[in-house]
Amino acid sequence: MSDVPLGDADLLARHVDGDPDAFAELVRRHRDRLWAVALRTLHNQDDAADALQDALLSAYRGAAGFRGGSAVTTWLHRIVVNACLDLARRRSVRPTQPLHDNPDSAPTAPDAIAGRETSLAVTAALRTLPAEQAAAVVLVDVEGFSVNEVAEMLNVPTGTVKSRCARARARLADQLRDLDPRRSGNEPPAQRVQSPAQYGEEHA
Amino acid sequence: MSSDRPPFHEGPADTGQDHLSMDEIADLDEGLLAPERTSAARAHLQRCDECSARARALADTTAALRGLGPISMPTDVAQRLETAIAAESEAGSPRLHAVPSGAPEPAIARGQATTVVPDLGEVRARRTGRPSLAASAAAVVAILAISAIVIGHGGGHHNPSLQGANAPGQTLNGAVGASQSVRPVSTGRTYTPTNLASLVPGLLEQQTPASGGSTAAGLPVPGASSPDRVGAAGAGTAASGAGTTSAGTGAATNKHNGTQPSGSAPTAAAVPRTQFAPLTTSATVPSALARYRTSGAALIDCAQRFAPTLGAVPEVVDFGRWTNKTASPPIRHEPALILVFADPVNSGAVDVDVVAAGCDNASLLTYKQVSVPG
Repeated sequence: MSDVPLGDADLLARHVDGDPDAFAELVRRHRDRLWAVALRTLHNQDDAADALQDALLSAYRGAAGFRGGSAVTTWLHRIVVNACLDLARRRSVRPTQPLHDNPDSAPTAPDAIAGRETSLAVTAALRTLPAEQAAAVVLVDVEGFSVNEVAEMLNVPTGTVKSRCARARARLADQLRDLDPRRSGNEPPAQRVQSPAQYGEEHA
Repeated sequence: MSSDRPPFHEGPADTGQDHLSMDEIADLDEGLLAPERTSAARAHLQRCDECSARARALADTTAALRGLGPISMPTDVAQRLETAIAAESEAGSPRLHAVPSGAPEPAIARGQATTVVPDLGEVRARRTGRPSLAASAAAVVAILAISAIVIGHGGGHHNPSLQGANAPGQTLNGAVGASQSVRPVSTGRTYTPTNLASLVPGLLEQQTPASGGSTAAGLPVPGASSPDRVGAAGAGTAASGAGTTSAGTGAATNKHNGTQPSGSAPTAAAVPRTQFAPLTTSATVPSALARYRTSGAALIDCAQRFAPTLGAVPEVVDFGRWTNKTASPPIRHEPALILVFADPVNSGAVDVDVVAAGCDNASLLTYKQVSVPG
């Protein structure tokens, strides 16, 4: 392959100029990240797929409006996360109930919380967050966008982003702590998170 | 968003000093605590093993979040997206490919595009399922029929062929007859996050039936004189490049309507749009919004993207402006459509979408449910 891969902005420009394949290539390039954001915000695959399709078609049609003031990935994330929140808001999606309300589900073995298991547990615990909190903490902590960038994406003040992230981290930390015998001592788990397997997620 | 948890009091060896909740520690990390509370919290963390353990748990959680990677998109989802994008590409996107920059945008562009793929309003409607309070019985029947189609296909509503049957244009055709109307007003007001809830109820009261208002007769609406032909007239006007009629009188509109070559706006001509009532004030419509003013089809297509239920039309639309100084970057006097929908669940409230002129998924400036009296 002697061709230097085109940059995202070049691909988008080609799309606006009428290249029929450029946008699909752009999507292929970023779909796993965008999928992760949608899934971690909306907590189920059907909703994530719906929101992502809406968002990407909107981006397809609105690409001429991209001003280049931010990275293409930031622009795409903005559209995707807002489509997700819009869907969640309209549906009044309730976060998945923690397991203490659902005693039939098997908790993750407490001694399994280490290393990779921790990330799986975090992933599962994300399901219990309201969409706004999940979106904020995923964009900032997982995706690595700055608080300012996320505030712009979500069209909220930076303080709101910080607050949502803080709420989300606290909620996640409380749940993970309850799973971890080294930290929770003899206390019985107050809350348990759902088995990561039920999340249907595999790390790439 | 505030914590819904009570202050944290835990542990048998509590010496009387309040421990820090996980929320407070998280706030401390983000610099959200008040200054005096910050120093007290730091001091407490220094000497309290329990709370410092909690702080470590929080740090571990943040580290775990940072360690999460992307998730491989399932093959079926990837395939579905590729198909949707390919369909969009084959249908052509008049916005992107056929319109020279700076030229007036054909008002039917969105309508064509959304016949390929269901828009946001439909996605929402599949789940919320209740029509606008103002919807006619015919609308209810049409919505139920479409729901049945979707359900009957076992969730396979993203099959492109089914999308064709479920297209907004056809939905409108059945669901929106002459009995419904959108009442646009132009107050010239600038809305903000703080005044929205107080201004919207007045907006609803201000809009009165067109037949009863003397102001209505004085301000004929271009392209709106013939309710059944609104979509065609609006689309034709914009598509023919005569996009300067937004502030013009309506005197020539009927003639224009009658002489419009049918071939220039085939989609819109085939799809009668909702009735379009006259403006109730003479405030100037921001030029960025003019196309929604001159084309009922463009306005309805835009509104449908944000409608809480399938086929719902707004109770009232104000051509206003939006200011949000706390946004980053701040938004000042941005031309915006104020779309006021009946809330599908709560009859004592309306759903207000403030939408920028672009009218895509990134255009939602704010969404708010506003209580209305009565």
